Amino acid sequence: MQLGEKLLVNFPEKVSANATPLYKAILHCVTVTCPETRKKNLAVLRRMVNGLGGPSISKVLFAELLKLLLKPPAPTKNDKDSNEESTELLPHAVVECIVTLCSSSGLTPEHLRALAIDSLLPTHHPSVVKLSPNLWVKILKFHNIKSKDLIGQTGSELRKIFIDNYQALPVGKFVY
Amino acid sequence: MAPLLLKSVEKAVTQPTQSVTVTEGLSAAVLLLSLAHAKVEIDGGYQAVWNAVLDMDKQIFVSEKYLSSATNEGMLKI
Repeated sequence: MQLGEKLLVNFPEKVSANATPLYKAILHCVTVTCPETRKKNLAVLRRMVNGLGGPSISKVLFAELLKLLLKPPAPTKNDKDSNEESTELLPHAVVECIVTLCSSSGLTPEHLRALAIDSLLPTHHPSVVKLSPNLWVKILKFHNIKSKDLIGQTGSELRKIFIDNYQALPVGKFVY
Repeated sequence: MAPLLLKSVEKAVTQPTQSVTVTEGLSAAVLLLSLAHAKVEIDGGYQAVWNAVLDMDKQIFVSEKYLSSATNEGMLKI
C-alpha cells in the first residue's frame, strides 16, 4: 500500500489512465485475509481517500471493486483441492473496504453525490447485503445525504446504471 | 545508499518471478520514491524507478502472480 499511496498521492500526474493493475493491487491489499495486514492497509487507504485527490481515487477503486465483485468465481477443481486458500473476496473485507472508501470528510456536494452513486452497486452486491443489509443507507446517513434528494438530482445517472448499462447475472453466480 | 537501492529495483526488474527479490526491490522503490518526493538528487536519477513502478505491461510490483505469493510485509509495501 505504500507504493500505491506514494504514486497516487505524491505523483498522481505520473500515473497513467491505464493503471488498472495498480488499483487492483490496492484492492487486493485491503481485502487480504490476514486481519492485521488488512487493518494496516485500510488505514493507508483511509489516508489516501481523505487526501487532495481522494474523490478520484475512490471513484476508480469503486469501479474496480465492482468489476471484482461481478467476476464469476473460479471453478472449483474437486473436493481434494477444497482445502486450498480461496481467491474470492471475503464479504466482511469488502464491507470494510467500502466503508473506508466512503470515509472521506469535507467533500463537496458534487463529490458526495458521486460517492453515493459509485457505492450504490457494490453495497448492493448479494454478498455485501447479506452481511450488512443497510450499508448504502448508512453511508448516506453518515454523509447527511437525503436519498429522496439524491434520486431527484441523479435521475439520469441512475437510469444509466439500472437501465442502459444493466447486465443480467445469474443469481447462482454470486458467492454467499 | 541510493545506488544500492537502485540496484535492488533493477534486480527485481530482471527477476520478476523471484518473490523475495521483488519484495526487496519494492521496498527500495518505496524509499526511492520518498527521496524523489523530497526532491533529493541521486546519482543515475530516478528513471529506472519510474520505469519499474509505472510500466503497467510488465507489472513488476503489481502482477497477480506476485500478489498471490507476496508476504504480509510485501502487502504493506505494495
